[in-house]
Amino acid sequence: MAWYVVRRFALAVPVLFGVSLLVFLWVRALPGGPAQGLLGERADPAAVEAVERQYGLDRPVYEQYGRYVGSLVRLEFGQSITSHQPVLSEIARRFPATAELTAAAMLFAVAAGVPLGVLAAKRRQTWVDQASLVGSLIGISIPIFFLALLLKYVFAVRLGWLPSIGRLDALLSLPHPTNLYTVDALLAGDWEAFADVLRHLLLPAIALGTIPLAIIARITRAAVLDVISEDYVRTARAKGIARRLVDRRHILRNALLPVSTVVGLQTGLLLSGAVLTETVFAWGGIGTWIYDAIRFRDYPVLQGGILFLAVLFLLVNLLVDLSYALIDPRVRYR
Amino acid sequence: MSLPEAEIGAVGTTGGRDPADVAPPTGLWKDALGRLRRDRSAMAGLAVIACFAFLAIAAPLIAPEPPSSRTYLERLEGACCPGPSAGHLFGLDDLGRDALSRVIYGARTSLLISVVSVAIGLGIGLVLGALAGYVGGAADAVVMRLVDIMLAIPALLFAIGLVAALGPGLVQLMVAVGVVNVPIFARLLRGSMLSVRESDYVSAARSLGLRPARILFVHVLPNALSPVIVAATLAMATAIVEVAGLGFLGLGNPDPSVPEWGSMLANTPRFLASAPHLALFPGIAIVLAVLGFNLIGDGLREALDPKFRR
Amino acid sequence: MLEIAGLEVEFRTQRGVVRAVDGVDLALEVGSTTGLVGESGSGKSVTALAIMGLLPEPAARVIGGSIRLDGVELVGMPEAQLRRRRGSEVAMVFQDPMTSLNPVMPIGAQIVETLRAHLRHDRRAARRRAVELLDFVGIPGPSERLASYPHQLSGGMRQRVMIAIAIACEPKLLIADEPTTALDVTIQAQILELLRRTVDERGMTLLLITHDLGVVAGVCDRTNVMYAGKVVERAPTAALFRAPSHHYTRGLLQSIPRLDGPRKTILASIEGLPPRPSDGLRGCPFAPRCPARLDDRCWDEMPPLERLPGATAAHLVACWNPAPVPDERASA
Repeated sequence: MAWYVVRRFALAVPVLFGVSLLVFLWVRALPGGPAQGLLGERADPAAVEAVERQYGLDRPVYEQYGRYVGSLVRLEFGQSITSHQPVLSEIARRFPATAELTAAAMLFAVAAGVPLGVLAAKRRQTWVDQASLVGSLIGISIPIFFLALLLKYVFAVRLGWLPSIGRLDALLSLPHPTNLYTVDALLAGDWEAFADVLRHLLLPAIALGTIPLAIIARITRAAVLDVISEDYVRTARAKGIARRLVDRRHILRNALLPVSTVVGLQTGLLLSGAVLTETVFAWGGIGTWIYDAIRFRDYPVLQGGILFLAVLFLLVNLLVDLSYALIDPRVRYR
Repeated sequence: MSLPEAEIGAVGTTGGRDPADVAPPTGLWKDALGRLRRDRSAMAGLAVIACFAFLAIAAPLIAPEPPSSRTYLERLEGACCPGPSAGHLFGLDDLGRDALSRVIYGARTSLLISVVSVAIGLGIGLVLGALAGYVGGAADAVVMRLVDIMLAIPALLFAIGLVAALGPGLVQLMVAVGVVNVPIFARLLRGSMLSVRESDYVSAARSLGLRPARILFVHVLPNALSPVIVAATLAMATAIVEVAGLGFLGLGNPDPSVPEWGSMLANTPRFLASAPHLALFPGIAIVLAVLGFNLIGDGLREALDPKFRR
Repeated sequence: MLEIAGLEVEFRTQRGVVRAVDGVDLALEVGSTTGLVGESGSGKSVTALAIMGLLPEPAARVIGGSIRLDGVELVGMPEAQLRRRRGSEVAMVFQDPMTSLNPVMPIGAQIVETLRAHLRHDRRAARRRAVELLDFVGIPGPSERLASYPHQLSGGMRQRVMIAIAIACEPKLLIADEPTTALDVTIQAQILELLRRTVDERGMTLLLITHDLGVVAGVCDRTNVMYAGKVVERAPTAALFRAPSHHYTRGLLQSIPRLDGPRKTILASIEGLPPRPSDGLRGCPFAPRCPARLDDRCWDEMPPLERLPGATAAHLVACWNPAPVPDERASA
């Protein structure tokens, strides 16, 4: 197992280098060249010089890339043009919001998608199955931001059941040691704030989680149908163990193997989707930050944001692979 | 057939296949078409896309107004955006433009961008995939690492970065969304190329002494194609979503006289309470188009892949 | 102990209804070993699944007849009661050990869950018992092996684990469905030996299902030959081999290579294919392939399973024109 972990990490390193190279080339392709691009048209000459030094723009390209990687390893992502804050500290401040939203969305997707898929498989070719098929087709086809707008309009604007923007009611105050508001509220023991945080979380999480929900439901259905006809399920039934044990230990556990891979892949989609969802719900995470960076051509922020999310995506997939190895012994020993 | 005798002799060594067996079966396509015709949801998807295609082509004839002509209403001041009325079925947008006309013209832009971007992605992906799958070796390693790297960056972010570097514009948008699709096609084509390359009818063709290029184009590609057709159809759906997402983020086509669905939604969060129709109609158009392509794609997959028939 | 009478099982398929088991009678005495022989599609496995109550619903259904275990009717028994009998009174070893064990569960846990489903074992007692069982079926280092996953074991070892699971709760009846078909020839003999030892030492009743008459010869006291959903010949195994009288049985026997025969003989094969159960024959299902068929009768009327003239009372055959029993004294 330890060897497997090491090997999987080793495989991720070249990809990481590749991504950094891609981003490096991207910076050089920015309109106005790297220094100008990263600092904006009205950059002050000292800053331009600093960036030119960072990239060593008079040096050969490979050396420039070397310096660039060096600065990344030292976690130097530069400064935001608009806020003049170091990109890294902005990421640290904003990421918990995105993490909380993404986790809530994935939780929603898995908690609803897996049972739905199982139900559809068990009631194959009944109206339940048909309805879940149609539902997941529509779920896959709705753009995240449109669904976000629809939910916001119906539940926040018209019905007024849930808040339409932000993470916490302005009238409530909460200390933010972790910036994960759910955790903060629990740490503070403030149940009113906790409930309010959940109410704020609900709509964005549903908007963001619907596509993975639909995909997970379909994959689960297919996987359960595959597994149901496996010989070992017949063996389990021949043992005379309770039906729910057959379902849980033998059918579900095997069916979840392909589902876990999908969860990893969908996390990438969620990170992309966070940009759109956060924009609609004014959620102060990485997404709105990137959205603002697009509008103000804040390239250091874009660079930092894209790199950060790409690394995060790689990391999540790595973790999924490792957890896959935990569930499926066959992978571990290969 | 004017093959030298020695090569005809070689046919016998590969299990005595009749040369006629070597050609890929054409009945496959006919069968698949028949199955597709009987698939009601795929036909529904096809109908939806056909409608949009018609709207796109005939937009100037159908749309009540040119996409950028404005209606100046006295009562427009202050309260934004009159909702649906007899004169303007989908209402007016924040600049007083007829939303119905813009949705119709939007079909043009959205479909055009999607088709071209998928074509770009498919083209580059095919070349890379064929290179990796058919040439193999170092070419394969390089291409597959490139694919891994591209897949490591979440798609929409990748597109955002590309548009930022390329600058605003219709063509840039197509290229950006197209490039994002490249790794999917490259990986897919490499996979099917590898499996076809090892198959009996290709060995048979090789033993007949056919030139590699001929084997590639006549025997390998057609058989590697059906998953690509399915993926391309589904990629149309994602392309529409991605283009709309970029538009929504304000990275869409900057020319206001060429409306695009996603861009039409960009301003709507501000008017959501007073003018929800502004978001509703282009949004529905996107959902329908995406749904249409998804239905066709699913239908094609089931029709083309015999394993899928249940 | 097991009495099957007039069992009929139907499968509903896309091409219509197929009768996979068509009036099978079978009686197993306590402690006996009975073989059920036939080619694939003859209905032997479906019969076994019907006894277990594991027919793939809703496609397959028992439409007639009865299955009694110690006098208790199993056909139509509620699933909850059937479940309690499965594993504890009747257990089954399946054909392919490579796919019949759950790949993501240690084998120990797969044995333990059977024990805990039927016996009031606590965790520790169940574990101890699992070690005993693995030891009994001949798995070396049984207590270390509990934590192994199926993919870490060879096919033969996995089939031993399957047997350990099947006998865990000391069932009265053990059904083995082609238990050696998926294994290497050398392993086959070991597994058969293990099965024979198991039923001997534990006093179980065995129903052995196979397409291979050679397998039956070494293990079973009595043998039933099935063809197209029907039992066509039934006899003590020795009598069957000495005097096969149904022409299908004869064909099967002639297709087994013999070590003591002349080296260059060409193995006989039975001409033609078995009828599809949907063909709807009125007469003997073997008639189209039978070398000794009588022109009218065999086509029109299904022969009953009756005592073979000139043989012991235990030798039954369903044939209008059975091969005669060779004269014992003459051949001796």
